[in-house]
Amino acid sequence: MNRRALAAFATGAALALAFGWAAFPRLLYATSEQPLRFSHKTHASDKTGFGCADCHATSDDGRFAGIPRLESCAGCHAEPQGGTADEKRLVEEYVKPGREIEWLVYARQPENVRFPHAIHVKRAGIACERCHPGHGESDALPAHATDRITGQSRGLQKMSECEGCHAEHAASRTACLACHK
Amino acid sequence: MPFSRRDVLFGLGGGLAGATLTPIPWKLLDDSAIWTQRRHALPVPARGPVSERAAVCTLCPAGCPVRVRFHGARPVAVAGNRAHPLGGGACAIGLTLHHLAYHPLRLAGPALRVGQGRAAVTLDAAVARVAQALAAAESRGERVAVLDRRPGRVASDAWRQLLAALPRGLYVTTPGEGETLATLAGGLVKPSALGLDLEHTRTLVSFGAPLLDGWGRPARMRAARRGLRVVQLDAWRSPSAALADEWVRVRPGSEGPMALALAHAVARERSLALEADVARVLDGFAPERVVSRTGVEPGRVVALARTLLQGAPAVAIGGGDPGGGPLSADAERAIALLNVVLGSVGALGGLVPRAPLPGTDREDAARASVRLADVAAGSVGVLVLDAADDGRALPWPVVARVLAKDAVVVSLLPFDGPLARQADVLVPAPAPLEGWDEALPTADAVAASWALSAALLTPPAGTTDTVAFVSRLAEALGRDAARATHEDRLRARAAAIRASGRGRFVARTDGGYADATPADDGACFDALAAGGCWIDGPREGGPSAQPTLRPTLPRAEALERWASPAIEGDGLALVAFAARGTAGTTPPSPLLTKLYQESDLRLPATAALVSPDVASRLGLVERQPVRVEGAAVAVRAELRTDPTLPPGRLVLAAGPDPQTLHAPRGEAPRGALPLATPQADGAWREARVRVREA
Repeated sequence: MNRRALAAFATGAALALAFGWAAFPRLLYATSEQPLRFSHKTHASDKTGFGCADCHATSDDGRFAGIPRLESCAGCHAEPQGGTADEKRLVEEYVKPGREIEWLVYARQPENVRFPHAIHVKRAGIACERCHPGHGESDALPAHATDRITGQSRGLQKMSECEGCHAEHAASRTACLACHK
Repeated sequence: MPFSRRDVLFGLGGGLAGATLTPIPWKLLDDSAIWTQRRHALPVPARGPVSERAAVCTLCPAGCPVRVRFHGARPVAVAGNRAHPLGGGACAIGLTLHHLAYHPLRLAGPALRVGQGRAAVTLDAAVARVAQALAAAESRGERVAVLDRRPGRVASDAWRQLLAALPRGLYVTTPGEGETLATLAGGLVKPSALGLDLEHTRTLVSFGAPLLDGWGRPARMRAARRGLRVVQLDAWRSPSAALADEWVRVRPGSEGPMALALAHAVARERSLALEADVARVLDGFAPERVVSRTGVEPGRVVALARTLLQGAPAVAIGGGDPGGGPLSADAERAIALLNVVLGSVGALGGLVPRAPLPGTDREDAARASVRLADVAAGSVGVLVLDAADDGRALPWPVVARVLAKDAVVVSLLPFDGPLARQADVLVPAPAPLEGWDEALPTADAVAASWALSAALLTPPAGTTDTVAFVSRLAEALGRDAARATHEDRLRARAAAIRASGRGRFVARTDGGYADATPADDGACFDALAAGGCWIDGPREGGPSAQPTLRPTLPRAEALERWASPAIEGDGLALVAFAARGTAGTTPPSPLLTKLYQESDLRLPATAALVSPDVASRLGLVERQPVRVEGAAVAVRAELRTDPTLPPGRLVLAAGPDPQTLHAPRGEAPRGALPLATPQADGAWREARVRVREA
């Protein structure tokens, strides 16, 4: 292969790599911003002393750990706690009219799957950070991305990840109905 | 410098090579995998507000309260309702309750049988055809029968009223899992239903009943399991035998003589002074005299009798198996007699009288019904198969026995299946969750209870509610009976319960369930329809009020047969079985392939179990395809061996029918039901089969 052919090959490869890693995800995923800016870093700081479960409580039957409802926010944010535009919007547009915030859920499971947080967090003792790394230290929520082909959230956990962990810990690994309904 | 074709090709090659190092091909492959599914089966995530509604699973008599989760108008999940006073979870079959409205075997409109096929007709035409058949049957002096598998509902009352208005009407039922209790109740001087005081029972001896695998109300059995000794007498290591404290291997069909041998040993141990007729019956059944019939060594029988006496209060339960069918009436009488000898009737921890559900305690109710086995052969000109399912198998030959020549069979079953396929007229009723239904007291209940399941889904336009069909039929026949709607009848029953002043109402609240005092009949019905229930209070007098009992003894011909040595027939004894809810008229959800075909957690109807000795003698090996041949029919199966199974037996499940799960139509029959041999007493469990290489 002469030098010119090598340059053409390298250029083609570079363009493909650039497209594949930079442009393709933008084409594949439709992104939506969360309705409000939210800082986990601020809320989970030493100053507040909140842990994950203080806001993301698990329901009695162990279903979805849950995006906190407005009443959780309203306890502290009945009046603006700062001067930011989002803080003002939170109070004016959501807390005072009693309107729930339409948070976009990153890991919403398909309807043929059940994922009980209680079993994983309480019984198996898996830390929240294991599946949601870095979430508690983030200063702003990332945009929500939806796969245009499957319609599912980009943050959705893959079945192979579930299978791997279940196999590793011998947790209901052969029982389809453990996860699928 | 111009690009040459060679440059372009190298550039494309580089692009392809580079693309393999990006997510493009892999992510597209992963995402587009969803398109490899059949288009109609592509999952479309349900959208809409999430809500949860209360319902009752009516796929078997347990009537477990469940929670149905909806996204918009679509049900997406079912879960057991542990917070409900009658709840305690749901089985795998109940968890798929919401699939059934969409089952491929769903019947969606009236039809008439034309030759080997069916022609869709209007409801008016179907009703007219049934009315015409009724008139013709009456003119020929034949009976008009309705087969109700779940008696006691308001729909059952509607049938009774219509049949009472017909000169030759016959209300027919089949034996259920509470047959032992019903047999004993039939001997009470003061008529009453009986329940099992399970919370105080110390020992249960099961004659082939799946006590630990779906009997009565499973949640109650689970709660009482600690401190309860369960002895399972079974022909094979059934799921219930595997869970029991002790499994006694008995010969298939030996429940009657085994019960009498046990009663004999108990009476001898207790030195009981028996009434003359009872003593005469038991005299011939010393354990050592019937060992060839029961297959149980006398010492084991005596040891078991001592176990029952030391573990008193002890109760013996028959009732048969959901797939293997009922025991013979004589076997039930023998088990009932064992309970009498054990002193369990009316005792604390035994079988205690249960007050009837208000509104159902008319004395004529019990007398007006007849068991299918007691209907004269060839006497029925029109047979209506009611839509209700008790989750137990019923082979068509057992039903066909009562039909007259040219009889017309009308099916209200919501699903196509072995019984519906025999029907001349089909008027499908709504599927589960699509219509009103009721949860009645279970066979084991010591107190009556009542819960409602409201219509949560809209049924297809072609389906007809059972009570509405009865009304239409009454109208076509010019009878005034049975004109009230299903909801009206339910309201009337709720009002009768409230008027009785007995028990307590429990209503659904935000935080769970709480006792309620409905202000009026309307509020009472609304609370029940929203997921509440009614539970009767303790019966006056309690278990200490010993009822007077005159037990019905097994007939002389049965005693004579049982007392003689067993004669081994050719081939193997068929031991049929099924889990409750899998062999009835409601097909299981296709998702149950996970249990029956992919995981092997349950023995499917495609697997025949024999002992390794039998397999070796026949030259067959594990997993080999075989033909199981009955008297007239052969079925295909895959051979499995079980070292715990005694020689001379073949175990085959009666359900779920693999064709209802996913196999193509027209495949050769599978499972135990085609091999069933109906006997004169309504049982079909004693059949002999041969196994050959397929």
